[in-house]
Amino acid sequence: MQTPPPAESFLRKLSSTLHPPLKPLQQHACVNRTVAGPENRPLARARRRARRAKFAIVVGSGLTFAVATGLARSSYTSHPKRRATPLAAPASFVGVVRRNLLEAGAVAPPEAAPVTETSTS
Amino acid sequence: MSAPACFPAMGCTVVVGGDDRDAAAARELFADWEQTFSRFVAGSELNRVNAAPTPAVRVSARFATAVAAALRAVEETGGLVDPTLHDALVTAGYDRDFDDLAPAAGAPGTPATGRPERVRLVGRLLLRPAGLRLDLNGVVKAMAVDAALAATGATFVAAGGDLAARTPIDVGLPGGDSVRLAGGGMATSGSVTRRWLRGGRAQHHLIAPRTGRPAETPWAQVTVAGGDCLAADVAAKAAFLLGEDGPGWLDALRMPGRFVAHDGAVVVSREWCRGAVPCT
Repeated sequence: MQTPPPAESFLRKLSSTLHPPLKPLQQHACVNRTVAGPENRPLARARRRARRAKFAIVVGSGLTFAVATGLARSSYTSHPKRRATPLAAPASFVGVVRRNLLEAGAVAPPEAAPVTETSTS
Repeated sequence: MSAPACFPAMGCTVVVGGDDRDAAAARELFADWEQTFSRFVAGSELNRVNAAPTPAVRVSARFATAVAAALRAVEETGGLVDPTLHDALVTAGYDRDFDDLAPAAGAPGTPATGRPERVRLVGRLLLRPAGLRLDLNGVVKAMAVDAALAATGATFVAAGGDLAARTPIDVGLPGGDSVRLAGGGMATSGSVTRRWLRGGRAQHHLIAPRTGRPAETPWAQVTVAGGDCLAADVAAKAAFLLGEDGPGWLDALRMPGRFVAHDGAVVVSREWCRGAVPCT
């Protein structure tokens, strides 16, 4: 192996003084950024789609939870948010019962002298 | 218990089993009802409604309640208890207060049959063809009895054949028997009391809706016990008009009923037999 001439080693030293050596590539901040060259656009689109999908999932889940919570709070009876109303038979049921006009009475053998009478009207 | 109080109303004697306050309240109630429903009180709501030329008439809440009860009675009795027989009654001669009726030589006019299907009630709006006149006596007296009992502290209220009681009471029956009304109401309908002559023929106030003439049945009087006086009165009228089918009809309804024939024979329904007296 030939020993470099003394002038070249001097020039190398001079060069390294004037131009500090570059940092190794793995220390550079932008080393992980892939340069979007023509061969990387599909990957970028895929990543955008993935971001949008994640956003949609998060927002949709939040909305669903909010709606479900609202429905549960409005219908769950153990924690009433409105004044309680008394239970009552449905109007249709009451109507059916009341329509039964001919309700039977009850008679029994007399126990004493009559206090009044039912005469023909 | 003080002696029952009595006063005249609705063409009969009203008996109130209670104190003076109860009797006064009942008297006022019957007077109000008579002002509303009597055919013979000039200016009564019934007469105003019957005279109204329009097919739709707005009525009072009390009137609407009575019409509703009458229409239910039509439905439950297959049309036997009919509120549209005003003209049939007038044709038969019952055109004035019963106490003012006198025998008349002229024969009854052409009978008018009932048309209850033409009557509708929408809230307080009464719909019927103009000229179709109503008579609500089939339900009004019994309703007044029930209302008087509810509005007072009386133990019972009786108006002619109609009776309602708050507690069990012993009641005299037509013909001399008696029975204990265990609860509810009791009514007797028949042709014995309200009878008059027209053209030499006996007429009475229980009109058969299909013929428009006083019903011809084997019964002189029918007594029925009901859940209230209205139920008893409607059932008694219907059972009377059904003639020989009356006892079977009450059996089907499980209502106690007692039928007195023109010859004095007594027939009772199954429930009357079970409850009241040993059957022979």
